[in-house]
Amino acid sequence: MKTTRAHAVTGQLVVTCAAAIAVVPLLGVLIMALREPDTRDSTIRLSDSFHFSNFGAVWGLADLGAALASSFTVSITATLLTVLLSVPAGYALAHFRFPLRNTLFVLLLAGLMLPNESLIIPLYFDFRAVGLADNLLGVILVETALGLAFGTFWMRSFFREASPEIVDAGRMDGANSFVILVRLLLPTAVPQLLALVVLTFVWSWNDLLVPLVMLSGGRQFTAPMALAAFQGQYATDYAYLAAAAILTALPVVVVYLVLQRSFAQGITSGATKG
Amino acid sequence: MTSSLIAGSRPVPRSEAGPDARGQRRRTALVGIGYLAPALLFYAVFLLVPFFHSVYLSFCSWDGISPKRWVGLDNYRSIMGSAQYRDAFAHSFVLIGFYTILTMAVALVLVGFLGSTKVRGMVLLRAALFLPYVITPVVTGVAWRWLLAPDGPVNAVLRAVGLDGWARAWLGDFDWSLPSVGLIGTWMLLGLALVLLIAGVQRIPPDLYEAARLDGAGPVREFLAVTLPGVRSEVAVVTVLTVTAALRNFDLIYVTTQGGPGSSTEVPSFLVYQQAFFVGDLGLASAMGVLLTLLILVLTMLTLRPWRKG
Amino acid sequence: MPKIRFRRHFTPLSAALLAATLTLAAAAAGCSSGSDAEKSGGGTLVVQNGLGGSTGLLAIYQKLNQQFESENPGVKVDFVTKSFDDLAATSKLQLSGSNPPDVVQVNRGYQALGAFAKGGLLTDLADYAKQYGWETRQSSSQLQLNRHSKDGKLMGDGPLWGLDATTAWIGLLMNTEVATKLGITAEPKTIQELESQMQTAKAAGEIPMQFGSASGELAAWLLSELLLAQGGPEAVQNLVFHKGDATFTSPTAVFAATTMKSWGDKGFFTPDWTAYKTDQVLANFTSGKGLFTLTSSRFMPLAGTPEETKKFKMVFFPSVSGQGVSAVGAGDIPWTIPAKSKNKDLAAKYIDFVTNEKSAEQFLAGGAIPSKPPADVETAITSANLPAPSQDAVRNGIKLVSDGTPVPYVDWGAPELYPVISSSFDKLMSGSLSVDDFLGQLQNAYGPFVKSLQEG
Repeated sequence: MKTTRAHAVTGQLVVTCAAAIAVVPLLGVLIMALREPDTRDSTIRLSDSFHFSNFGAVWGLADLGAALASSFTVSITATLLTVLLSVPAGYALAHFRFPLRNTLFVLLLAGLMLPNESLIIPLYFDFRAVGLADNLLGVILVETALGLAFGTFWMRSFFREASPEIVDAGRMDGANSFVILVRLLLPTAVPQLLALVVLTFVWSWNDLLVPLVMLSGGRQFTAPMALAAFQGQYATDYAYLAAAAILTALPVVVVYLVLQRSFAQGITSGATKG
Repeated sequence: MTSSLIAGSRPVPRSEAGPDARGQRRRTALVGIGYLAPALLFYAVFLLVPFFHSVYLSFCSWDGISPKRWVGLDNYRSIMGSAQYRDAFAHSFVLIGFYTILTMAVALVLVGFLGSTKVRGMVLLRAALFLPYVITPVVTGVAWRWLLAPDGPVNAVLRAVGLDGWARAWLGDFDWSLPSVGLIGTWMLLGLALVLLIAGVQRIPPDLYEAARLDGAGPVREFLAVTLPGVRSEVAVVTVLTVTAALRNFDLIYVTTQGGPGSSTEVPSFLVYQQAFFVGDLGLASAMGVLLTLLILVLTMLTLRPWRKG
Repeated sequence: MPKIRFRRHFTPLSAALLAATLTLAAAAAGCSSGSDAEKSGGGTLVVQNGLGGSTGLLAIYQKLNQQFESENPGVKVDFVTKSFDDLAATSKLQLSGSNPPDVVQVNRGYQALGAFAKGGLLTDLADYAKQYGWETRQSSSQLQLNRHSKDGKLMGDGPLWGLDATTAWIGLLMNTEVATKLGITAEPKTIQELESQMQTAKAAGEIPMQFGSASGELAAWLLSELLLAQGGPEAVQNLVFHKGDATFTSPTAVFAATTMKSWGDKGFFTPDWTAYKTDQVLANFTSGKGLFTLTSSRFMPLAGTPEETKKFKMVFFPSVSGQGVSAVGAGDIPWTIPAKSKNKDLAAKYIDFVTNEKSAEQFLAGGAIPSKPPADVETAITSANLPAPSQDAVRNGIKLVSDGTPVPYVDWGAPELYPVISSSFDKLMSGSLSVDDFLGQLQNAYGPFVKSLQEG
C-alpha cells in the first residue's frame, strides 16, 4: 500500500491541526478550573498559582460522588437497553418485509426530532401519574426511548449494507433468522455496535433537561445537574464550574478511549473472503 | 458492493407462488414484527404517547396547574403570525448550514485522510477530536465566550496579524453572533461526525482500495470513488443527527447568547424553553414544539433524499 | 460454498443481559431508597432553596440551620440547594406533587407566585403571621410583594404567601479613585449630575459606565431605575401592580427610553457592551476600569481584599429631582409553605426563625441585608467588620427599607416583559427600533396580559 510522501505529510498536518483546534478551547476550560475560585471573572488567565484543590473542593460542594453514581446507573442501563432493543429492531426494518414497515421506520426516526423542551413537562405529569417520576427508573426509560430512535436507524443502516452473501450462505445452511443475526451478522457489526454504545452513553450522560425535570421532586441528581451548584442567578463561580465539568466529563472520556480502540481498528475481515 | 438489499431473502430453491409461499411470507413478516416489537412498544409508550399528549395540549391553553382550556388553532395562529418565531426558524436554517454542511465537509476531508493513510498518534488525535462533543455545552460555551470576547484571544490573534478590521465583539454583534454560534456548533459536532464516519470507513473492504490503486487512482480519486460511496449510509445518519442538533441546540444558545444581541440568535428550541418553563403556557409551548418537529421532519426527509439508494 | 466462520456469541450476549438486569435492579433499589429519604416527617424538615451559586448566603444558612436544630432537638433540617434558574423552572412541578418539601423558596411574579396562589399550591400564612407577629416585623411595603390575590389577578394584594429573610437593592457602584482623578468629589444626587460626571469621564478617556447586555438584567434594572428617577415610586408600582391604567407609552417611559438611548449614543457605556454578561461587567469594573456601574447589593462582597475594594462605593441611583430615598429593591425570593406540606407548623417555625432578629444579625455579619434590620444597625455593621462597599450596601439598603421607598423590578409586570426588554433593548440601542417602537413592544408584552387578567 503505497501512498505518496506528500499525501501522508498533508494528512498528518491536517489532522493534527484539527485536533489542536478541538483541544484549545478545552485547555481554556482547564486553565479556568485551576484558577482562584469565586472571582466571578469569566476571562481565562493563567493565575500565579494553580489551585488543584478546586477539584477536591467541588467534589464535596456539589456532592459529585452521588451525582456520578446516579449518572452511571442511568447511562449504563439506558445504553444496554438501547443496544439490546435496537439490534433486532434494525434487523427487522432492514431484512424483513411487513406491512407499514416504512411508516414505522419514519415513526422511529421522528423520535430524534421531538423537542424535549415542550415534551418533557407533560411527560413528567404522565409519569408521575404512574409513579415513574422522581426516580432514576423514569429517567432511564426516557433516555432509552430517545436512544432507540437513533439506535434503530443506525442498526438498520448497518444491516441494509450487510453483505447478502453471508445471509444467503446462512440460509443455505438452514440457519434461522436469529442464528443469522447473532452468529453471522453481529460479529461484523462490532464497530457499529461500539459506536452506538459510545453515543448513547454520551447522550444519556450529558442530558440536562430530562433528569432536571424527571427528578425535580425528588432528591436525586445526575452529573450535569450537579453543575448548577455553581451557577448563581447573576454570577457564576467559573473556576469551580470548570473543575466540576472536567470531573463529570472524565467518565465519558474514559468510555470513549476504551471503546474507540476497538471500533476504530482495522476492518474485521473474514466473512466475505473466500 | 451493491446496495441491493432485498428484504426477506434472496431466491431460495422454493416456489414463489402458491399458498405455501404466502404462508412463508406471512411467517417471515410475523418474525420481522417480532424483532421490531420490543423496541417499538418501548418507544411508543415512553415517547410517542407523551408526544401525542403534547399535540393535544397544543390546542389548549394550560399553565400546568389550573384546568386546561381548549383554544383550537389559536396557538398555531399566534405563532405563525409572530415575526419573532418566523425569524427564529430562519435562524435555524443558518445554523443548519454550519452544523450540517460545514461539519460534514470538514469531517469528510478528515476521514479521507484518516481512512486510508497511516497517521501517527492516531489514538490520541482521535480522542482529541471527540472531546468537544463530550464536554457539556454549559462549560464549552463559557470557554468560547472567552475566546470570542472583544478582548479575547481570537481578536488578539487577528490584531497581531494585522487584521484589525476583522476584530469585533463576535457574540455581541448583530450580524456575526449567529455564524459564531454556528461555528461553535461545527466545532462541537465534528467529533460526532468523525466517530460515525470512521465506523463506516472501517467497513469498506480493502480490496476496493486495492482495485482503485491498481487502476492508478490517486488519493482524491480513491476518496471519491471508494470512500465516499462506502460511507453513504453513515453520511445519511450524520446528516440526520446534525440537522436535529441544529434545531435542538437550546443548551448552547442559553449559555452563549441567550438569544441576543436583540433577537439575532433566537432559535425555536430557545423560545420553546422560555415559554414552557418561564412564561408558563404549556399549550403554546407544545404548539411551538409540534411545529418544530414538523419542520425537522420535513427537512430531514428532504436532505436524506439524495442519499437514498437508487 | 464459501466457508463461514461461526463465532461464539452467547457469552457476551448473556453477560450483557446479566449486567442490564443487575443495573435495573440497582436502579429500582435506588428508586425506593430515594423516595423514602424525601418523605418528610418524624423530625426531618425538608427545606428547598434556590440559592445555588450564592456561597455567602449558603454559608450563613448553614449556620442558621445548625442553630435551629439545636433549639429544636430531634429536628433535622434537610437543606436542598438548587440554582435559581433550576428552582424557577421546576417549582411548579415540585409544588403540585404529593410530596413537596416542607419549606420552599418561590420566585415572585404573576406566572410564579401568582400562579401557585391561584392553583392553591401554597399555604395562606395569615394564621402564622398572627401567631408570630410577622405583620409588625416587616413593613407593609415589604410584605406587599409576597401577597397575591387568590384568583391570581392582583399582585401585592390579598393573602400573605411567603416571607423573605434577606433583601437586595439596585444602585450605582462608584470608583472613587477614578472619580478623584477626574475631579469629582461626591456621588451624583440628580440625573443631571450623573450625566455631567459621565461626560467628564468620557472626555478624559475613562469608561463612564461599565455595562453589558448579554444577560438581560442590567437593561431591565436600568429601565426600572430610570422610570423611578423620573416618575417616582408610583411610576414603577403602578406598572407592576396594574394600577392607575399605567402603560409603557407614558411620558415617564419615553423619558426612560430616550435617556438610555442618549447615554448609548454619547458613548457612556462600555464599548461592545452587547458582548458582556452581568458578572463580566462587574469583573471589568472591579479591575479598576470605569467610573460607574449598575450593581445589586447581592454582588457583595466584591472580589479582592478590603484594601483593594476600599475605593468602591455603593450609592443610590439618582433621581431627576434629587429628592427622596428610593431605589429598585425587593426582598430575595420568599420562603413559602406548600399546601401539601406535611410539617406546616414546623415549617412556620423555621420561617419565623430565619426572619427573626437574631438571624438578622447573622445575615448582616455575612454581608447580606436582612429584611428585618436589627435595632442598632451601626453597631451591628461595625462589629461585622465588613469591607467598605459591603458596608455601603447594607447601610443604604436598610435606609431604603426603613426610611425610603423600595420599588419592585418593572419586569414583574407581565410574564413576557423580561425577555422582551432584554431583546428589544439591544435593538433600541443599535437604532433598529425607535424609542416609540421600543416602548410599543414593551406595551405589547404588557397591555394584553393586564387586560386578560382583568377580564379573565
